[in-house]
Amino acid sequence: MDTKTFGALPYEIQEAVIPFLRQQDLAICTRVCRAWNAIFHPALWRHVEDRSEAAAEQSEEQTIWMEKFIKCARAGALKNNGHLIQSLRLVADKIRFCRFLAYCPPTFPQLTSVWIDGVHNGEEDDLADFLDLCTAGLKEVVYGLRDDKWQAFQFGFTAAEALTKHAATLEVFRLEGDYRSDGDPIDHLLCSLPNLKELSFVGNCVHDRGGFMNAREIVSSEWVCTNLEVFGCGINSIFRPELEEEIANESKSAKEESRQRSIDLQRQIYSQLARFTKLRKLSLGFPAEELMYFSKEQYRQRDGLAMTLESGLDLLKGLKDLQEVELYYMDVGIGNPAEEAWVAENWPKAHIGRIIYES
Amino acid sequence: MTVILVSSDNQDFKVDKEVAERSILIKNMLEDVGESDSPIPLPNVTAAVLTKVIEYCEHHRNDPVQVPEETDDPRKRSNDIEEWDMKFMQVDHEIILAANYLDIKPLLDVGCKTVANIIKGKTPEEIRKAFNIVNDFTPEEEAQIKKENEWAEDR
Repeated sequence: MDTKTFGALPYEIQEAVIPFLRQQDLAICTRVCRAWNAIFHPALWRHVEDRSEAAAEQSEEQTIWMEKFIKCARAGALKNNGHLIQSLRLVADKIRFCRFLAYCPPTFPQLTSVWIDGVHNGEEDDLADFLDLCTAGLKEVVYGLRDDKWQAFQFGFTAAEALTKHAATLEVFRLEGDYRSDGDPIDHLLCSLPNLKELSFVGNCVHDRGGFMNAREIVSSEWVCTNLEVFGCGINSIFRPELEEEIANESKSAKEESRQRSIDLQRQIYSQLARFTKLRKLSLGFPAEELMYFSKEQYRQRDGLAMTLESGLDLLKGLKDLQEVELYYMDVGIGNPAEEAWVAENWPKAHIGRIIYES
Repeated sequence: MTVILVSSDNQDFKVDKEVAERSILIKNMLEDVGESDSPIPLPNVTAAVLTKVIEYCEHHRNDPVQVPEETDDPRKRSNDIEEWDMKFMQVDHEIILAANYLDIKPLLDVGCKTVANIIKGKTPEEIRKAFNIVNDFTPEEEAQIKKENEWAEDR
């Protein structure tokens, strides 16, 4: 084609070319001339993240990009262009994140999507400070820590509280990888974020990691997340006498009373979950990736929902949009003929994935 | 069924309705007018360009109508241009303008991909040469931009 006339194309068509360009091409385009700079510079700064091929791998290369970005930030780039950023993805440990914070502009007036890989303990206050700069109101926040055998990020009340300041806009919050969370901060999010569509605390579980809510503590919670479409979290501390019987060979009759208490508690939890009438994906329990360090027995969650009709599964029949159900290492009733038939009838679109403990 | 399209220089083109409706603009016009033999004027498209655009629509008459893609990735691929389309685009930018005006999204995409492919992998100086652009930055200004945006360049 006659390329001499690209500059003569109307602005809207020049804009249409942007999605077909890679980040490194956009960066080059900003240096061509003033007219091109006016188009491509804002486009480049719209999405700040490492888009190199190395970023797809879990490698040291990621921190090289972050060092490069901090170098540009030190030269004033972040202060000059922070107002253009709509989505930001960083690979930062505590020290790099502090340096990044030092070069931030007073506000990020367009930033709505934040993804931070490498969040460690002790960063909660820094994260909270950063979230306060995002004056547009965040829509999506993801924190991740990957492949850290020795440390886990503890998601606590400070981090949760910082998120609730974005209650008017926040639709997605996910924790990925190696972290721990008690039930309180998770429950706090469910009670404060009415626009949430996705809440996920499904980590790559090394023993004792992930997010769990204590069933007895959430029975009377006033959850406001009625728009939730994706929910993933462990729910534990449900007394399951029938499993103890199975394991200890205890007699059934002695446990009748406590069995009824277990069912009462579970029915209350199902009632809570039943509020999520728009749910498309439900994950319970925890995926276990690193089985070499621990026995499978340690992963097996024996204090979660039984997912049986007897325990009150029927209370979830209103979740007609369920497309995916993931049940990890839980002793669940789904899989038995009666529950299978119930699932087929009540969750017609759902694909059920069960990972079970095998002795 | 055929329709008659009239170019800006008053040439008539008799085209199958199915082919003409690859243009969303024309499709909407036909829907508004209903059954009618009256020719459709296209005052923004010359006969030379319209000939090429009709050639494109004839070639792609059986393609499924493109649905807007819902993708998380704001970046799109540009290395998937069909060979026929690639040869077809060896023409000037008026095709892109016409595709935009006539609202033929797949043709506009091919045009944009072609432009993107020319830009890819080049240095600023090579791009200036390819697009006949005069550098109006001072060396200091260009250095400052490079300093700010280097995080995004190839390592």
